[in-house]
Amino acid sequence: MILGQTVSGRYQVGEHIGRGGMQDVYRARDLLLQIDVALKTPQPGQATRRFKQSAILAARVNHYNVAKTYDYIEENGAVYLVEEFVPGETLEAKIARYHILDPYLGALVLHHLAKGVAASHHAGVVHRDLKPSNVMTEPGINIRALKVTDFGIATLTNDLFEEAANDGNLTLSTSGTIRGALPFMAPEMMFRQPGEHPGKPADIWSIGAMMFRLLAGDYPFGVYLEAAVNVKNRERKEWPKFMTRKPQFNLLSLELQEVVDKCLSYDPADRPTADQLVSLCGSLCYSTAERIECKLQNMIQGGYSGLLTSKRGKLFFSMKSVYGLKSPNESENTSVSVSRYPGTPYDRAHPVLVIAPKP
Amino acid sequence: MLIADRYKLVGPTAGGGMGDITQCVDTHLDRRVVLKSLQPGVEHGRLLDEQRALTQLRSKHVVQLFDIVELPNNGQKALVLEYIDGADLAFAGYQADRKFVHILWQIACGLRDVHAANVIHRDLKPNNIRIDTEGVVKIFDFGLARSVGLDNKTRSIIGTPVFMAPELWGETTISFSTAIDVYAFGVTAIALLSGTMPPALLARPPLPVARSNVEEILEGLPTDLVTQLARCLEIDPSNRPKMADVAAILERHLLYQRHRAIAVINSEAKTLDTTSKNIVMKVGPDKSMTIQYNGDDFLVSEVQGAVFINNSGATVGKIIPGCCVITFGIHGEQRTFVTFDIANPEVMA
Repeated sequence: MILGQTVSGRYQVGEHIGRGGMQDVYRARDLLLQIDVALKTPQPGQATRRFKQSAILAARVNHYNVAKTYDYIEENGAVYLVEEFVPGETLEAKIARYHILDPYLGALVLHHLAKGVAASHHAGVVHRDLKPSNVMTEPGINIRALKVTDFGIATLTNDLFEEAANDGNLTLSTSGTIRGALPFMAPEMMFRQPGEHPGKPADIWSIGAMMFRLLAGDYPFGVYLEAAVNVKNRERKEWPKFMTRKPQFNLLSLELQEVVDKCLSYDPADRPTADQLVSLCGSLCYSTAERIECKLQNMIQGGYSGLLTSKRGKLFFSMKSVYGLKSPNESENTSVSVSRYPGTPYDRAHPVLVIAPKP
Repeated sequence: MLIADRYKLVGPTAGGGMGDITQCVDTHLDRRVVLKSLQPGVEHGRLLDEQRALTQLRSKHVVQLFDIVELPNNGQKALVLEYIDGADLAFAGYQADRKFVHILWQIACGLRDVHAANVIHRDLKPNNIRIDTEGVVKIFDFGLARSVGLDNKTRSIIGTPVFMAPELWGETTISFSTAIDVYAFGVTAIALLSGTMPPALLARPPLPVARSNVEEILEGLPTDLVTQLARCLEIDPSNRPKMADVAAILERHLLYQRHRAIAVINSEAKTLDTTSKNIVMKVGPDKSMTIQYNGDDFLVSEVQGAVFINNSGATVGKIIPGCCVITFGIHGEQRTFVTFDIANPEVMA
């Protein structure tokens, strides 16, 4: 596609913003409604015939936590799907800075994911490729809402997985999409036999695997073929100790681990439904206070606490509020994400998470 | 007949008061949409600007605009909107319970969002609000009410009687603000609970409504919420609250008795919630503090000696901020630190 080209007399093509395994994604301007949209088109060589069916399926889902399907166009032999453009970044990009999410952010992500997936399951749509790079959230260090994307190619994903399974062993596929999906893929999807059609519980497993990655900072079964081997042998990684070591975080961490453990049940029948997941999340207590990015100024009280600088003055923090594998110190780990609470002479920061410095 | 080469008419075509409503199927995506033709008397420029503003806003509670088309028969413009599967809010269909408060909260959040974008609904009423199959409240027909020309005598009439704010009943064209939506929201709250309107609200123009009338209909709701809803019905628009404040107080009631605080004393966590409402902390012979949960907040109910919350002196009645460190003792002496963190379930639509 050409920059500035207009599709359907309405969508002016902007920059190329992403390439999935099967489609190219452009940012485009809807000249009629004067909003930005995501314009998706199958990659050359991809079958376009199923693209429409996929779009129709996705268009049935209508929920705030799912990127909306706006339009579908066939023009000059090409096909286009127009989806809600979510300004911001994916959870994958978020995790590149955060490394891990504290239980408050984790609970929020789980709750919103569950809501979006429940709505799509009600509409009879299974995503099949839920992973952090398919979840959009706002730019910066806050996560206050999120939207699942790429329901629009759920049918194509299904075709791809089915084809690979029919060709023999899905887990040995060289397809980039399949390899990228493996760390989050349910066992019944990995080892499906011809004629089997894994459904909604596969999405619940993916939510569980994704949450493990976000909370533990690691893939529950590793990546690529290693993931398939470990899933087959039922050798999941243990929850890391840092999640429960500090009493301020212990309770919510344990509650989250319990929910994620249920999602990662090897037998699909043992997993909660999306509705049950929503209800479990509805009772989790977590803070949704705004996060701000701070720099460590210096440690005080013999390293027991420290002072941070922010755009709105200094903040005090106790090492007890530091969550995760890394702790701030004066030589490294000086960028942190915190919430601010009133105090004298300095506001108090809690929780404190070391994040990667701004790239 | 296909409109704009893609929208196929289906179902009954209802002639609504504010715009002809047509059910269609969008043949591109095989889904139902709603077509609304713009009526004479509605300023098209203003309406389209508002619709675009709403689209950019992307509120959870506003119906999505997909397209703007010209109708083949008369060349009139029409909006193509998302079809919401669900039911309109029912008049007198609710009780003053948590479910009702959750619905009011969602309406308030929707109006708060659109008011922030400087859009006024102009015709809020239960039949312009629908709950979708996911339980999410959707408000539609934004700005569709015509501004002039309903009849000769009341040139400025906007909206639907009973839901129309007193300032809209003038003889001349008047200016109005988001406060007309706040008034309509107050009447909507009443209409959802009761089939009988207080006579003062039925008067044309409406009269000040007695507090006892409102209390009777809203019986079962907490006093401060009744007060807030009664304020929505004030005759003077400047006395009505902002929707953001109404949303905040509704959310507060949805969280009543649902908070959880974790106090960590000597590396041991103690949980406070509605089943365990008090914590008494004693340090040495001369320092102590009790924190009590009243369902909304965690408050200092007793304090003795040098005790500080985030370094400010603790006093009885003080509300604990979301997260804090409580310090027993003064600088220079052996001090004890307690962390206190408050959280709650996230209220979602």
